[in-house]
Amino acid sequence: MIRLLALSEDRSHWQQIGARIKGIAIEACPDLAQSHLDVYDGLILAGDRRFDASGINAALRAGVHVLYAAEPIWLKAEWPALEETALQNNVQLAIVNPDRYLPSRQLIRQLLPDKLGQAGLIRLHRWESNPSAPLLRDLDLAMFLAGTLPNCVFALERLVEGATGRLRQVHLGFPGGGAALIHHDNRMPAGEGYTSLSVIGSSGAAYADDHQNMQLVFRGGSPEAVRTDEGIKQHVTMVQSFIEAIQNGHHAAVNAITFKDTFLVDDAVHESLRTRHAIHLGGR
Amino acid sequence: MTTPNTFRCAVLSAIKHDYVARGVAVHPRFELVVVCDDPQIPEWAHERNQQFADAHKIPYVRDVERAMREFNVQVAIVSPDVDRHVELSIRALHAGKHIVQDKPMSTSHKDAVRLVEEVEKTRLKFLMWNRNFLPSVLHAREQIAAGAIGKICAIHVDFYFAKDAGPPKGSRLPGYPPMNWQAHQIAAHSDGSDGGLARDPMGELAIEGIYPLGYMRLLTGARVQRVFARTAPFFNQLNADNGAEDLASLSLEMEHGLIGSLAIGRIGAASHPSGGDMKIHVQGTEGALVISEARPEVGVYYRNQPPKEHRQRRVAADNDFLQADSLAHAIDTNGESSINARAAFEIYATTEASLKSCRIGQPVEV
Repeated sequence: MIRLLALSEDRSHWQQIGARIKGIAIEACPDLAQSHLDVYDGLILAGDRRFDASGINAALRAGVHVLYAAEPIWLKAEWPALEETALQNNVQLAIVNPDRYLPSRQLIRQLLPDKLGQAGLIRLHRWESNPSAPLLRDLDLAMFLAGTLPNCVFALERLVEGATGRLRQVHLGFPGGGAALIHHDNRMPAGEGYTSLSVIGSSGAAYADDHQNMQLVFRGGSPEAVRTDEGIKQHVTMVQSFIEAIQNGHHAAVNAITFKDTFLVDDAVHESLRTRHAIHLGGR
Repeated sequence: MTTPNTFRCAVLSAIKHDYVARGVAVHPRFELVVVCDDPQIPEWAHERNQQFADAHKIPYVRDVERAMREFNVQVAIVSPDVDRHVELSIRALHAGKHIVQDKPMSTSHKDAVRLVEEVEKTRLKFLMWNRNFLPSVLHAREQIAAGAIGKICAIHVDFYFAKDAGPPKGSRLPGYPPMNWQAHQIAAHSDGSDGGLARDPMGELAIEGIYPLGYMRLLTGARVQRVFARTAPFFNQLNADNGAEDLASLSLEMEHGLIGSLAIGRIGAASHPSGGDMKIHVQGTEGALVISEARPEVGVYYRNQPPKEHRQRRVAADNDFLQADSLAHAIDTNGESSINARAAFEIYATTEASLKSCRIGQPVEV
């Protein structure tokens, strides 16, 4: 039995996930200080909260594998040392983008390239009311679907007077002529956000748009649109993938390399915003 | 000066998009009275013009100036091969006729400028045929005008035609010659995919860009000032053989601090069940809109349905009437049509700047 600890207040959510995977048990607690880490095989850090590098370091030193599925940019400076600690203690440090595990994104990735061909144009909208939400996971998702790193980055940004947050638009060019357009708006009014992903491939296309997944609620006046979301399967797949990595002894460095590339592209985004030029990433 | 109740129209070549002439004729104030073209055009073009004339029970005259003179027309509807768009429009202007022109505006910057200058000098009315009055686009305009999302900050359009342009890229066998652009365009008339009927190849952005850029202009009122673009021949062997893009992505900087983007392409019939995904996303200071351009629509499915027949059918589209009505109103009131020559030129300049941006790999001022 593999025992995992999720650092979360939503015990029920993580127990439900554990119930769907054979041979594991997941417990949850809101604070590492309240737990005895050494009884666990793995630690899950997910969601919108910020996690402390020292807690991750302590887990790795205690021989606990770590699945980090929160925003990686917040620990950008700490990752090299944490990777080193993981290697020294022969444990997994899996830094993952949880968006990759959404059922819709998994389906689209499975269809590339056999059914959809090479990705030609990836369009991603993510609109939310979270002023501090960074862009990194959208960059990662675009590269995950394109199957390659971009060779060109151009970015635009607009701050809106009187509002916190901003509109950001990133235009990636890929070798072979493909491209991605990513639109991130983190100053939406309070409430649910919107995501849309379309992938136009050389021999087919896939469209995963919240617009398609809205249901109507009539309560007088104009109906409301409410989304049927993708539910619990995202985290089930993510945890399953983590368990397989532990059981098969995949090297932890694989995940860290993926995010180093994403950080590079993120740096290019900031450079493009600063210079108003397209940034060409050499040697790709 | 009073304007006539009925505008008599000459169809100056129907060899490309005859839907423009048919669209204008939907309006009771416009009457098609003659088809005309120059005598030296190829025989296949004469045949096409004759067929259109026969279908509408009007004469076909192989002399443009004589037809405009003898049939007492007020409006010329111009849809020849793209190379002759400007030439025929200017000849019609010199004959004192208002113009409805098919897209794209021109094959050259010089000709586009010349056309705008002639329109403005003659003070006749010019309508670049467009899709701005589709129900969903008008609905978006209403929502924006009503303040539903506050002041616009950004606009994004997806404009994909899920159509083939011959065999897919990569299908040409070694030793076989490249596909001939013009021959393919002539053959593509049967399904209306001959927008690039011209001597030289034209990519999708150049051919179709007027439509989505027209939406942006209508909904924001803002001109594009700077553009960064990526284009590629990605899907079709025809485009790959002729160096013409069939996929383009644009990042736009617009007046009043707006930003925008356009994704456009001829992506292959397999990539959508109903002709292509077309969406408009508008972000404002108080909210945002997500608009499916095809709506309202009806889903239609039946046994043995042909694979390429659309599963979702657009209904209640009134664009043809409203476009013609905008021209009638412009003529009656000495106003402007939905996309006049100056606006059409701004859109043309955006596509021109986009293609330059793609060549140099940097943003370009429009």
